[in-house]
Amino acid sequence: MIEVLDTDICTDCNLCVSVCPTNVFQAVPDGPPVIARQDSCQTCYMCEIYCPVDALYVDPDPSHVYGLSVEAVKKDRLFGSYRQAIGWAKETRHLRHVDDHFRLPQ
Amino acid sequence: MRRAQPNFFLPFNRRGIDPFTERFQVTLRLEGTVRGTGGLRLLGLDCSTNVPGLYAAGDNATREPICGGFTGGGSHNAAWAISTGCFAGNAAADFAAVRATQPPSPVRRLGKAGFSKAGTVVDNEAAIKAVQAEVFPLDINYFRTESALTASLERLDTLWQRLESSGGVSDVALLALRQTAAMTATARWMYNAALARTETRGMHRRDDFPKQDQAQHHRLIVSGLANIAVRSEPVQAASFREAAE
Ligand SMILES: Cc1cc2nc3c(=O)[nH]c(=O)nc-3n(C[C@H](O)[C@H](O)[C@H](O)COP(=O)(O)OP(=O)(O)OC[C@H]3O[C@@H](n4cnc5c(N)ncnc54)[C@H](O)[C@@H]3O)c2cc1C
Ligand code: SF4
Ligand code: SF4
Repeated sequence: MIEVLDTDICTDCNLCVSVCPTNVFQAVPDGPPVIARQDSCQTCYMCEIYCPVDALYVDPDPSHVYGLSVEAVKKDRLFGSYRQAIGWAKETRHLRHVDDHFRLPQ
Repeated sequence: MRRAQPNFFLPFNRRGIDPFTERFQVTLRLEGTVRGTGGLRLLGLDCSTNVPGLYAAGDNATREPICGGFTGGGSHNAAWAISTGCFAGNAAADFAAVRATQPPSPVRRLGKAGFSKAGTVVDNEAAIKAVQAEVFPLDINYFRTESALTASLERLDTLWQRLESSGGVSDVALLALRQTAAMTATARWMYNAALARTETRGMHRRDDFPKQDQAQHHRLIVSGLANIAVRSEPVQAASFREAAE
C-alpha cells in the first residue's frame, strides 16, 4: 500500500494524481497532493514509477498500513528503487533493453 | 528471471527475501470474477457491438472466440487486447469518418446508479463489502448450486435496486459509486448465466450438475440491468475461426 509522500522534494506536478487508477491522491492548490484514500490503494506501484523525483514509496503488502516515515524509507534507500530496477532512471538506462525474452525462438 | 520479470522480484527485494533460497508465505487470492472470459459480445472481427459506433477491445470484449469457457490468462489476454485494440480502433476510425459528415444526434444518459436522486446516499464501503460477500465465498462462486446462486442473486438484486436510486454527492463519490455499480452488475450477470448453465463446462462448475451436457454446447448471452435476460446462441465457428487460429 502507498506509504509515504516526501513533501520536501515533491514538485507538486500532480502526475501521481493522474496516473493512480484508484484515485488515491487528492490534488491541493499550490501544494503537494495528499494521500487522501490510502485504503483504495491496490499496490500497483504506478505512482512510484511515474514520480519524476522519487518522492513516493509503496510497500509491497497490499492489506496493511505500516505507517513508515520518510526517514525510514530514505535510510533503507527504498525511494526510487523500483524505477532503478526496471531502467526508468538515468543511471540504469542500460536495464531497459536487457530483457530479450520477446525474441521467441522462430 | 530477473531480466524478464522485474515486477515479480519487487516485493522480495523490499522485504529482503531471496526467493530462490528462502521460504516465504503464500496466500490464495480469489478475485471473485470468472477471470478473463466474458465481456461485451462482438458481432464480428471488426469488434463492433450491437450499439452502432461502439467497438469493444481487450478486457471489455468477450474472449470466448479464442478461449471458449476457459480463462484467457497466460498470454491470450494480452494478445487479445493488442489485436482487438487494432481491429476496434480501425473500425471506430472508419465509423467516425462517416459519422463526421452527418448532423449530430441528441445524446441522453442511460445510467442511473450514482446519477439518481442526489439525496439518496449509499454507504459505498458497505456496498463493496456486500458484493464481495457474494462473489468471494467458494461455496457460492466455485462450488455452484442452484440454491446458493439463487439466494445470492436475491441479495445482489436488492443491492442493485439501492444503487440504481442512489446519487453521488461529489465527483469522487460518484466515481466510486459507478465502480461499485459495475461490480454489482457483473456479479448479477455472472450468477444469472451460472444459473442458466445447468452443467459443468470450462471454468464453470455446478455441484448439482457435475457433468458436461453436450446439449448445452452453446454460448449464453446475458443482457439487461434492472431485468436480466439470458438466451443461448449457437457457437458460430465461422465468423471467429480466423481469430482462433
Ligand atoms: C495481475 C494480473 C496478471 C495478468 N497476467 C497476464 C499474463 O500473464 N498474460 C496475459 O496475457 N494477460 C495477463 N493479464 C491480463 C492482461 O493484463 C489484460 O487482459 C490486459 O492488460 C487488458 O488490456 P486492456 O487494454 O483491455 O485493459 P487495461 O489494460 O485494464 O486498460 C484499461 C484502461 O482504461 C482506463 N480507464 C478505466 N476507466 C476509464 C475511464 N472512465 N476513462 C478513461 N480511462 C479509463 C484504465 O485506467 C486503464 O488504463 C493479467 C492481469 C492481471 C490483473
Ligand atoms: S508525482 Fe511525485 S513530484 Fe509529482 S506530485 Fe506526485 S509525489 Fe509530487
Ligand atoms: S500504488 Fe497504484 S493504487 Fe496505490 S497509490 Fe500508487 S498508483 Fe494508486
